[in-house]
Amino acid sequence: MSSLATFSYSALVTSFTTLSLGIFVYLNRKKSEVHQTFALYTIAIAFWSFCVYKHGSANTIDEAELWGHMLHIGSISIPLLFYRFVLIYFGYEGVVKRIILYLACTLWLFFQSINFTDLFVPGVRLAPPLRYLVIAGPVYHFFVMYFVMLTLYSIYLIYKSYITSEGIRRRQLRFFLMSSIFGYIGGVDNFIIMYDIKIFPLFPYGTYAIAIYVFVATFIIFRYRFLDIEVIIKRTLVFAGIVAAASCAISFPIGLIQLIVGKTIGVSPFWLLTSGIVTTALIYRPLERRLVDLTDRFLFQKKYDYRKLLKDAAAGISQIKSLNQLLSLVVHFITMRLRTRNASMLLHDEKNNYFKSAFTRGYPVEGWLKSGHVFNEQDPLIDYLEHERQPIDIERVKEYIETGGPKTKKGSFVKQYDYKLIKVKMDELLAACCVPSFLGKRLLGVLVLGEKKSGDAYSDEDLAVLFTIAQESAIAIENARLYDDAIEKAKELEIINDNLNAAQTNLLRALRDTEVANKKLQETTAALISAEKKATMVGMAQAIGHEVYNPLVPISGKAQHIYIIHVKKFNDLLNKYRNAMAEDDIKIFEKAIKGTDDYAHSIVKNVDRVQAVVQSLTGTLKESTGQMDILNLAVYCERMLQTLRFTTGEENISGCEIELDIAENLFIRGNSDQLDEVFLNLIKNAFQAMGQKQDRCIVIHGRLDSKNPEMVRIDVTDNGPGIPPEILPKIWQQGFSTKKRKDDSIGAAGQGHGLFVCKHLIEGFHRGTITVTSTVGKGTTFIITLPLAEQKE
Amino acid sequence: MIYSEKSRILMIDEAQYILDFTRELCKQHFNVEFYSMNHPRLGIQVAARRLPKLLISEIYFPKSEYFNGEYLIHAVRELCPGIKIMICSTIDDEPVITRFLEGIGVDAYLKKPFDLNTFFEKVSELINEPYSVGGTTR
Repeated sequence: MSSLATFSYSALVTSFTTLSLGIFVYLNRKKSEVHQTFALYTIAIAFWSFCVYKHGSANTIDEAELWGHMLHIGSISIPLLFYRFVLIYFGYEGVVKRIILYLACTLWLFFQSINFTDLFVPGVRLAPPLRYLVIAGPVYHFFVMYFVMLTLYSIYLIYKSYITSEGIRRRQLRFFLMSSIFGYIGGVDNFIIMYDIKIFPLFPYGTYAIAIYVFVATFIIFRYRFLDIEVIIKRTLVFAGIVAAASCAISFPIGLIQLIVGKTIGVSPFWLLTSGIVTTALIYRPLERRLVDLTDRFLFQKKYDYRKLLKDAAAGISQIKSLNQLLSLVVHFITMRLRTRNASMLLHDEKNNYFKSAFTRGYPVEGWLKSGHVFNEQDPLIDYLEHERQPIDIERVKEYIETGGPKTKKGSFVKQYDYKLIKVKMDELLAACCVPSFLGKRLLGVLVLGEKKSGDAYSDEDLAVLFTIAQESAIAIENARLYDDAIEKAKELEIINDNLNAAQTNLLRALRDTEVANKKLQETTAALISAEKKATMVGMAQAIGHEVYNPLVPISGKAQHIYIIHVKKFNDLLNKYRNAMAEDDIKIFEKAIKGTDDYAHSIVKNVDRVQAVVQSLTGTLKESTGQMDILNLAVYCERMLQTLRFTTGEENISGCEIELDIAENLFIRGNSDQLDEVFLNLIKNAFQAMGQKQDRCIVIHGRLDSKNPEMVRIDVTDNGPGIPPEILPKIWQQGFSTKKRKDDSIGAAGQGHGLFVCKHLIEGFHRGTITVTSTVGKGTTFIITLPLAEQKE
Repeated sequence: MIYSEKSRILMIDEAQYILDFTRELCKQHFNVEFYSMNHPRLGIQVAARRLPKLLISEIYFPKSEYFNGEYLIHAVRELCPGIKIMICSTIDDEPVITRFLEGIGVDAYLKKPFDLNTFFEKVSELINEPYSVGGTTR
């Protein structure tokens, strides 16, 4: 292409692109002064470029002269609009700048007014390889000076802003500054060729630099949201287009291959179509994933609505009570909305004084950052966030590493941190940005965010929004912690309660066991005491019996010997010498023998009585320790009567009717041997009291005691002569008897121990009672009460 | 040691007056040699030395540290196989009497104070010899 064509087309391209950018910026925010100024600035460039194109491609000298004047309308406006844009955009104010602005405006007006005069551009001339070239008038040189100086001053102001900016702003300005310098260096070619100076590649390609300048401006608008422009392009539309294009790109070669292969090997089109569909189906999902990734990464990152983002975050956060759910929500929410590669939440552990990774998302499986990882409070990153109380992103850290950290307005350094270590920590965390989460003055946690999938850096606005979300999260996290603590405490209380219940149950069981054990112990103790008592009593009875019976052996034996041997011998002697003896002597002798015999028999009888007394006493002693059993009263009485008939056979009680009237299923606690003794005594007493009376009858009546339901009442009633009231109180005394002896003394027929023993056995050992009621002439009733026992099968 | 042909009776009882009385009875009414000992342990030694035909013994020995009567019976039986044993005791508990008569297998059990005729009959039966009462041999 010739230099003319190159020059002209470069101007046309510049015009088109610059105009597009100007319109785009203006339409984006029509009311913004910055946007309006930038739009005018780009339109001025576009107009100038277009006129350059028309001037360069003019066929006649008049046409060239016209466009030569026209292009200067734009070129005169460019430095003024550029300066004005810089002032507004960077917020420069001040008298000097205002004076310069007014001066520039004055010059703009002056140059515009003389644009179509010979003072500015007197005409055009042929200047190969270009067709025509504007001839500079006498004032034109001042215009060049005006252009260059104002442009340089504007660039200087950009540079000044650049060196004091940080983060994304710094990146924006870096690109804008460099592109501006590049663009104006390219644009200055249009002045120097007027002085017949041609510097390659400024001529003929210099104007392309202006187009590149526009491209760069567009790039920083898209990439770094220069001019705060949100590029709203329906992502789905773009995505659909990409998918369609990709599908076509894939389908075409596949169809082509199918066609060639089909024709070559003779496969049916149906099968080819089918295989094509299958192939497309197989590659569709991986392709889609890849395209999504690409659109996320390279296409326009969807700019979120910060207000909506904050509102959604606040709404979601406030509804969660569980800490884990809350952390999950925060991390997921931010990851999805900001489309970050990874995110995690570090929480402060007050007990252990460290920060712990409480939730992570998007980290490599083999990565070292897991839930539970610990960061101590002296960690440089934690230290920075805690003291600076602001988020930090990796770009800023890199910048601080280069510059040595932020400076105050006076240029002195603020608190210094080891930014290299901070970067190392952030790299370890795969963090592009760390946002502290404060509750009051306390650093509660750190929201760690990875790189955006788009590759975009975090803007100041991003960080501000994230910081707001982090502070809202802090309150919610603390609430969730308290809630979790409350739940945990409730669970602990529940466990404690369960343990207490279990302990109470165990205690009650232990108490019951203790009661049972105590009862058993008491029973065992009682049994031991009883056994010991029994052994003592038996031993005592044996000892008493032994000491009494032994002396009786020779007494009784010798007395027996007297009447068995000696009396017989005396009688033999008497009979032998009877004839020789006087009648009186015989009588005396016979009387003496009889007396001896009687005395000997009397001795034996008294020995028997002593034996009986001792036997009774020792028997009582032995029986007093009897074992208690549960007895069915009816069954017991039946058996007792049989025993009674057997043991009293010699006294023949068969002539006496004994009637049993015992209620069924009455159980008593008692010792059957002792009770035998009691009933034997009572019945024998009754029998003997009734004597030879006709219709002798003894009734044994057994029922539950109506006065005391825990006792059984047994009445033993006879229809004998009864007991006189004056004797009645004495019958329980030991040794008292109403039976007559042969010598008429009380106690001859009985020993007077029977009722004493009965009372002793019933009241002393059975915990019962025995009383008597009697009516002379009608009969006597002995009333026995015994403890009721639990029924058993 | 040369023994006479007379049957030997050994009596063991702590009460010396019982031993004396019984010795008198046996001497008067039986043709026997009568040995007695008032301590059961010494009684066993006498039994070992005299090999009596009949042992008349108490089984309750409070003065001899409650020497076990059952042991006494077994010891004497071991020393004098075939010996007849008659218990003459103040213990009148039926279970004890039953145990000695049926369990241990003594030949007779007399409760003190005993009936003289019963005593004569039992001794006579056990030594298999008649006894004389008032000049009459039974």
